[in-house]
Amino acid sequence: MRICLVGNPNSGKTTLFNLLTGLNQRVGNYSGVTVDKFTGKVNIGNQLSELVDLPGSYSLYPKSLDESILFNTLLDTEDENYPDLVVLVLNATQIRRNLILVTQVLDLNIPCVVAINMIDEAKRNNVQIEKELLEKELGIPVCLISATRNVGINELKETIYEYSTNSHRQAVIVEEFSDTVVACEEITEDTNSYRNFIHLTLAEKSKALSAAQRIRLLKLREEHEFLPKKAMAKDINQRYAIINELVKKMNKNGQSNAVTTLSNTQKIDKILTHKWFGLPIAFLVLFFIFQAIFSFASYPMDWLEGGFAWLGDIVTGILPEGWVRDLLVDGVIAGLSGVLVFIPQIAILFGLLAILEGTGYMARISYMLDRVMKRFGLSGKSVVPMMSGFACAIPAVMATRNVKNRKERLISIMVIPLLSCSARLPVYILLIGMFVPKEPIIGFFNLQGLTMMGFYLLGLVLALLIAGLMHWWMKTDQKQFFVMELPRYRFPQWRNVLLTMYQKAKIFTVEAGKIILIISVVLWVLASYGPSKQLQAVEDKYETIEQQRDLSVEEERSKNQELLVNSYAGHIGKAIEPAIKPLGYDWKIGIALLTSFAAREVFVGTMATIYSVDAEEEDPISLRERMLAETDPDTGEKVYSLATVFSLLVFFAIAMQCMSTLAIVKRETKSWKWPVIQVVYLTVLAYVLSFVTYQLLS
Amino acid sequence: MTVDDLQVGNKAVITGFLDDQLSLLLNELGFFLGETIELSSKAPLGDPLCIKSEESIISIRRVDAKSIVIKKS
Repeated sequence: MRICLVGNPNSGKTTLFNLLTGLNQRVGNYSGVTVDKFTGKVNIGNQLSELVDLPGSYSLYPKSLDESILFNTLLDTEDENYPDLVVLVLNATQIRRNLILVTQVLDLNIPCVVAINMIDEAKRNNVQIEKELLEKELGIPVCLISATRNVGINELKETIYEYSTNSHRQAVIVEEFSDTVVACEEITEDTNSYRNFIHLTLAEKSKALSAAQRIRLLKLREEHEFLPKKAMAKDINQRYAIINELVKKMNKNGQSNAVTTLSNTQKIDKILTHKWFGLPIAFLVLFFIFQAIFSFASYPMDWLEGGFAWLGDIVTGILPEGWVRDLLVDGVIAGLSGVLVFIPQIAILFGLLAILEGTGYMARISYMLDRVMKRFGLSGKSVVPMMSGFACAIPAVMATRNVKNRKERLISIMVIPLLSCSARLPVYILLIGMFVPKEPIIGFFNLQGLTMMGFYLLGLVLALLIAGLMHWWMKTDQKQFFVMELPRYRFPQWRNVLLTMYQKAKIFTVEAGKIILIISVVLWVLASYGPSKQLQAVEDKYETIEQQRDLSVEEERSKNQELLVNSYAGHIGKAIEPAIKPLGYDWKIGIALLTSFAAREVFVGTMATIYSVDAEEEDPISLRERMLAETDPDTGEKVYSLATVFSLLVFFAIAMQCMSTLAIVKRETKSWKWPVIQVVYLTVLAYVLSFVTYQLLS
Repeated sequence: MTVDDLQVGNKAVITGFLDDQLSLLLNELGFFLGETIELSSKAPLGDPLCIKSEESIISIRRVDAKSIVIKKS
């Protein structure tokens, strides 16, 4: 049996789903769209049933990608997720509004059970819910539950177990449309009048219809002068009229239902969205999130990297020298380490986001900062993903799933890599230190710090400009609204928080991990293999020394350097030199640009190998000095002039030097189209601006 | 008179919608014809606005709030 959970956003549907399934759930995608599909198994009457958590919707009329999932699933009896039974989850404190969707689903004649959630909260606030009255009026079983306190869950399961088909119910059809709806029967070959009404209203979107049926319905619309928008509004209004009568019966004393449940929320809002304190509090919270992914996450990341380095050493010790060992250690283990190292950042960000989401504060951040984002064609919902981008683009891109507007979400994804992430820091430190002195300016500000801030700002300004440009360019005739519910404040559900952390880490590892692993093996091949004659010559040269004595540290380094220079990566570096010459780069920088596609910080390590020096990330003095001493063998001029270094800085601030971001963008947009566009536009932009920088400064 | 003309704390009754698409969304959120609403606050930067019905609070941009016609109660 397949059971679907259906309900409004903020009805506690997900909490109920997590309670019923626990770890016995899977996250996938609805076919063809980027909406998470949560399915699980639940034990009902000693039988395992499939439970699907359909995306939260306010009504059957789809206004977003999420809502169209519900529409397509319930309107198409052939759909792969079409339920045998629907559990309608209601928020007891918003009963009126939630009943709209209930009456709609009932009219489709799908077997239903109503679960009124948050019953404890309703009781505390003297909201009256009359179970028997509702059962009589709706004609289906009603359960009163609290998913957070595990109240009424067994009764709900028993009710589901004993479910029977609904007593035949007369669908609510607005009087003036009844003739038109009857006329649909012949076209759709369906006798359910409400399904016919919706097929007629949304004929363009309904995937259950054949092309011929769609054309006939559209013609019928014209003949009967049927206006879909007016029809939907009239349908909802008539339902409200019926629901209002029902709710009045429940509140015999005439007391209105939910007044008191909002008063606490309003009190908290007085402080948290206060005219003067609201924004500073929001910035503190945002700063804390940023700090958490930027620096708290670095400890587990270091352990992970250390662990993999240790594993690599062990494998090196066990296996005999040869390509198998190299592939395992430098290709696979290094690649795995490159994937798993992001898990702390992802888990921490999504843990914090789940808390913000669960308490209701997330909506307040969007509300308060909407005005800033509006100018760039974005909304308040993009604030948190964009800000996370300053720490790491990968969790930031994943966080855009909360942005429900498709166009806005796409714009956010496209500009997030422009925000300077933590992987750029080692590159900035190395390069800025070469020409900018540590001169103090005012107090603890020094020139290096200010330059660094300048590059962070460069990324931010470009991101916002391009967002504005994309917004203007991707003009849609659909109007954009920013209407968002500010839910009641609640305590976060730890079960939901932990499950979110686990799921997001898993999605990244499984789905983006494959692509990352493949690219890192390719990069490894490029950097460690080359035309065999040349590499052999290098090997032979050091072999002869080794026969007499062990290699000194310096010799070991120059051997690695010569191997890299003669590898495929080295050859590619030389091949692209003409293209990067106008930016002020030589072929050695070309090699580092290629290898740093694995991750930006690899640039420092590659530079250290190329110049055979030790690389220390915190203050790479020896590498810096070595680079400054480098001269062009043909002209005798210094390779690293101020112009070259700043051109490189600009390049790194803009270019998409990160295969993991590429992989996650592919996963989040479900196609190669957007990641490819992204790489191309960022590379072109980086090239042009670096060129301008170099030409201006030299 | 439309919602953006209200002062914080003012109550009013919805008498009409000027935008079909937006009205459907507002209806579903509990803001329908005849419902009493209150302008409960404005965002710190002056936009969007925060309006409250009997059951829920929503945030809405000033431009969109212009499409909700009201009668002060």
